[in-house]
Amino acid sequence: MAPETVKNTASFIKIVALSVIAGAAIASRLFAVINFESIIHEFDPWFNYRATRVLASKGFYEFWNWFDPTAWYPLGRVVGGTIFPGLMATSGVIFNFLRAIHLPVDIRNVCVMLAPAFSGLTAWSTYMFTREMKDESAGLLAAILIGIAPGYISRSVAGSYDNEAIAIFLLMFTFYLWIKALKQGSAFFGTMAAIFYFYMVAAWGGYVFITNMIPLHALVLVLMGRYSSRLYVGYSSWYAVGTLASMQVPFVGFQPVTTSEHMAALGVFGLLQLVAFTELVRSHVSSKQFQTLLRTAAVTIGLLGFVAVVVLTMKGWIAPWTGRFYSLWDTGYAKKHIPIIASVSEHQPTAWPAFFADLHILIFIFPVGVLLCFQKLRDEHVFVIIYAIMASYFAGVMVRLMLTLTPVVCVAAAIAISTLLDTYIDPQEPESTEVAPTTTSEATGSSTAAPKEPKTKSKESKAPKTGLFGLDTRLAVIFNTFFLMLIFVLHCTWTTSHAYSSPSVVLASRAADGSSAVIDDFREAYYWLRQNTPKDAVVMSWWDYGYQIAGMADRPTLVDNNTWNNTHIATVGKAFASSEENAYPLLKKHDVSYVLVLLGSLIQYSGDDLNKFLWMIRIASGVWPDEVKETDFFTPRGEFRVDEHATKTMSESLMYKMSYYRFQELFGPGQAQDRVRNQKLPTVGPTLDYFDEAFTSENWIVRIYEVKPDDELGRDHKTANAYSAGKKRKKGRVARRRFALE
Amino acid sequence: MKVFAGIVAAALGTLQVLASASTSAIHSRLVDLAAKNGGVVPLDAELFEQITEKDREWTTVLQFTAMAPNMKCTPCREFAPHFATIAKAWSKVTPEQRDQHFFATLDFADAVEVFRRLQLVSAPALFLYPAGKGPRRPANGKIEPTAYDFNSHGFEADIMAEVLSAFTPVPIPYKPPFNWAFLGTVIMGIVTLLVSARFILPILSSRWTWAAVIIAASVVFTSGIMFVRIRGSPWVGRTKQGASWLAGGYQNQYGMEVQVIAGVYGTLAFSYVALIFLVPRILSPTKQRIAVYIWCCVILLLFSVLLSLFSVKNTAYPFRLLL
Repeated sequence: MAPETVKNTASFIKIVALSVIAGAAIASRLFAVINFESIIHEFDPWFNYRATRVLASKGFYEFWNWFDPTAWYPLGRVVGGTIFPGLMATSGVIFNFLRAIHLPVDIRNVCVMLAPAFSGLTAWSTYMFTREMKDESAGLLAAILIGIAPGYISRSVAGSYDNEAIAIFLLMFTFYLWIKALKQGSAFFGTMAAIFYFYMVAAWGGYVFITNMIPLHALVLVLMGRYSSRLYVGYSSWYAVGTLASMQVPFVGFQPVTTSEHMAALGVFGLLQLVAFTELVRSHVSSKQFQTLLRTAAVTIGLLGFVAVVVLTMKGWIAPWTGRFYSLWDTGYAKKHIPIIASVSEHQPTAWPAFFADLHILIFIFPVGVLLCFQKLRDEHVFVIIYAIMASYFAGVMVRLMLTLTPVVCVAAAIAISTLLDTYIDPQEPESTEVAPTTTSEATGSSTAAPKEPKTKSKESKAPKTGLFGLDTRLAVIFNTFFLMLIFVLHCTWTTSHAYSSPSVVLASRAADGSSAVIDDFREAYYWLRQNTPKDAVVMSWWDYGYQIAGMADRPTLVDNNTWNNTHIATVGKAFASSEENAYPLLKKHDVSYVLVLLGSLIQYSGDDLNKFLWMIRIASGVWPDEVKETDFFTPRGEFRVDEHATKTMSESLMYKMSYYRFQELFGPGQAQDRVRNQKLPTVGPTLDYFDEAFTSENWIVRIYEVKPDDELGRDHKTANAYSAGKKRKKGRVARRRFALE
Repeated sequence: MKVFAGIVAAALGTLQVLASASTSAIHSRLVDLAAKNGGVVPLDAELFEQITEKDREWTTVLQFTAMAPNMKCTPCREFAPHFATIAKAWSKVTPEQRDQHFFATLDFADAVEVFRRLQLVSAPALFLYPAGKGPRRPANGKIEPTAYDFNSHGFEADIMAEVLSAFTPVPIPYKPPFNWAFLGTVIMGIVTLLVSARFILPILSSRWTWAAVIIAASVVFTSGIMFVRIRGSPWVGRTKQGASWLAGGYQNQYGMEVQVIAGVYGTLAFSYVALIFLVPRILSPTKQRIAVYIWCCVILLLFSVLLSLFSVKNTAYPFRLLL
C-alpha cells in the first residue's frame, strides 16, 4: 500500500475508534436513566437544575440578577453572585441551540444528558493530552480508560447535573493546551489555555487545582534548570489573560490577587520575569562578575517578593488559605474549626477499597507510567509526574478529589500499557546469545565472554540487541494484559451499575421474593408539600434537603446545601436538638410552618436524620456551646442510643420525637425496632404537643409535621393539651392550673 | 515549711475563711499535695470524698484513669502526660488564685468503689467539679460535675488549656513547649547536608532518586495512609477470634492494611517494570522465556489476592480470580 493510503486509513480508524470510545463512555453512564428514569440526581444538581430553568425561561440578564428570597429564609440569597454559572450557561446555550434548529427538547433532558455528553469530550481531550506525552496509540488507550473508569463515572452519570460534569473535560483540555503552549512556546495556545481556564473558573471551584498545578510545573522546570523562552511565553500568556478573564466571574472577583490560593501563580509569574530578565542580560553581557551580581540581585528580589507576600498575608491584605483548602494540608483543621465541612461525607479521607473500586487495575499500573515519564523526562513528562503525586495525596485526603486523580491515572496507565504492548508486539527478534557462539565461531559454546568485536557490531546493525524471542512469550504477555483489561471492563460495568447509578432521590430495593421495587418516598413527600401547603409556607429541614425542597416542592427553606451561613445552620441544628418547648419559639421566630425529618428505621435507609443528628449537635454546639452539649446525648457509657437507655436530652429532643412519633404503632406492643441502628425502641412512644403530624410517606422515610399556630387562649400547647386530655379525669388539678394562669 | 505556712495563710486569707476548720484542713492538705506532686493531687477513695465534698469552695478538674499495667489502658497513658503538663502550667499561677483550683487524679486501682458508684466504665475520663459554696459557686446553682468531651476536644494539651481556662479562676498560663528536638533535628539535618553536599548532590540531582521517592509516595497514598493518619486507625483490630489486620467494611481500614496493600501494588507495578525493562534485556531465549512466564504468573496471582481482599471489604463484589 502507498504510504498515503496507510496514513488515511490510520486516521480514519482513529476517528472511528474515538467515536466508538465516546459512544461507550456515554452508554455506560445511562444505567440510571434505564433503571429508573430521566431524573435529576442527589442534592446539588437540583439547585443547578432550578437555576438552569430560570436561565432558560428568563434569559441571562434575569439570571445574573436573580435574588432568591425563598432560600435561607428570611435572609435570601443573591444567586448570581454566589454560583459558578458555567454549567447553567452551557446547558442554556445547548438548549437554545436545539430550539433554534427546531429540536424541541425538554430542558430537563438537556440537564440529565449533559454529563454523559461531556464525558465523550473528556475522552477526546484525554486522547489529545496523552498523545503529547507518548503517541496516538497511548492516547486512544487513555481515552478508553477515562471513558469507563468508575472514578470519573461516579460524578458524571446521566442525571448527576453537577459542576464536575463539565469540569473534568475543561481540566484536561486546559492541561492539554498548556502542554501545547509549553512545547511550542506559542502565545496562541497559551491564550487558548487561558480561555478554557476562564471557562473552568466559571464552572467549578476546583479551578484552583489548575491555578496551582501550572505554576508548580513552571517552577519545577525553572528549578531543574529548564527555563526556556517557550516556558516564558506560554506561562505569561496563560497567566495574564487567564487571571484577567477569571476575575470577570462575579463569584471569583478579586480573589486572584487577594487570596493565598492564587499567590503561587502570581509568584511564579514574577519569578519568570526575573529569570527572563537575567537570561536576557546574560546573553548580552560577558563579564563574569556582572553575571554573578545579576544572579544575586535576582535571588534577592525573589526573596523580597516572597517576604512581601508573607507580610501582606499577616497584615490581612492577602486573605489566608480558606478553610476548605487549608484542611487539605492540616488535616485535623476542619474537624476542630469547621465541622460543617468535616460533616460532608465526600470530604472524608479515602480508604484503599475506594481507590481500588474507582481505578481497579489502573491503580497499580500507573506508577509504571510515572516511571516511564521519569525515563523520558521531557518538559511535559514533568507535568504528569507532579500531577500524579499531588493528585494521589489530595485523593487520599478527600474522597471527592478522586475525581482529579482519575485522569492522570488513566494517562499514566495508558502510557505504561501502551509501552508494554509496543515492546511485546514488535515482531523483531534480537540475536540470541545461545545460538550465536556455536554458529559464528568455533570457540566453546559457553564463551560469551570473548565475543568477536567486529562480528557482533555487524550483527547489531541487523537486529536490535534487546528484544524478545519467540511467539509464545509475546502471546503470554499480550493475553495477560488483555485479560486484565477485560476484567477491568467487567469491573467498571458492575461498579457503575451497582454503586454509581442510583439517583438517591429514588431508591431501588429488593423485596423478599427477589423482585425489585422502587422506593419513591422523597418525591411523594415533596409533591405533597407542593400540592397541600400554601406557597409561602416555610419548611425547616436539615440542610441536605434544602435544594430538593426548593426544586421539587417549591417552598421556602431555612437552610440548604449552599452552607454559606454557619449560624443559620446551627440554628436549625439547635432547634432539632432542643426540647419541644424550647424549639417552638425558635421556629415561630423563623416563621416555620412545616418541619421535615427523614427516618430510615422502617426500611433500613441508613442516611436518615438520626444518623446525621450528631453533626447537627456538633455544629449547633459550635455556636451555642452552653445550650447544646454533645455529651448530653451520649449515655454514660458513651453510646449514642435511641432505645430506653437513651438520655433524657436525647429522648426529649425534637429530632427524636419527630422521628419516632407514632412509630411504635406499626409494631405489636413492645416489638418496635429501629432497623438502622438495630435497637429496640421503648414501648411507649414520644408525644408531641406543639406539632401535628401532617404527612408520612409510604415507607416512613419522610415525615412532615405542621407547627401548631398559637393557642387561641394564649396558653402554651403543653398546658392546652394537658387540659384537653385531662379534662375528664383530673378536673380539679387542671382547674387549679387555669386559676393560676389568671 | 515557713514558706508553706505563708502560702496557706495567704490562701486562707483570700478565701475569707467562712468554712469550718475541717474544710480548711482539707484545703491545706490538698494544697500541700498539689505542691509536692507537680500540681496534680493524687487521690484515694477517702481524699476523693473530701475534694468533692458539698461545701468545697474550690473547683477541681479530676482525671479518672487506670494506669496499672494489667489494665492495658493505652489511652490513659496517652492522656496522662497532657494532663500533667496542664497541671504543671497551673502551678505557676500566683498562690491565691492557684489554690482555688485543683488538678487531681484518681486511679482505678486505688478506688474501685468510686468508679463503680459513678458508673464509670471507661477511662480516661475528665470531670469538672464546680465550687459548691462561696463566691465561685455557679450562679445557676448546678454543682454537679460535667464531663470534658474527649470526642470533640481530643487529648491534646493546647485545646484542653483553652477549654479549661473558662472554668479555672484565671486562664491557665499554658504555653506549648518549644520543640527542641525538632529544632535540633533540623539544624543537624542542615549541617549534615552542607558537610556531605558533595556526596548528596549527585543523589539529589539524579532523576531516579526522585522517581523512587515520588512513586513510593504515590503508592503509599493510594493505599490509604492518609485515612489511617486522619482517622487514627489502630494498627490491627481486635475481634473475638484475636487480632485481625483486615478491617471489615468498605470505608474502613487498619494501619497494617496500608503496608500490605502498598506491598501488593508495589510488587505488581514492579512486575510490569520487569516485563518492560528487564525481560527484553535478557539475552538468553530460555531464561527470557522463564522470566516472562514468572512475571505473568506473579501478576495474575497478586491480582487474585487483591480481588479476594477487596471481596472481604465489599461483600457484594462478584469477581474472583484463582483464589
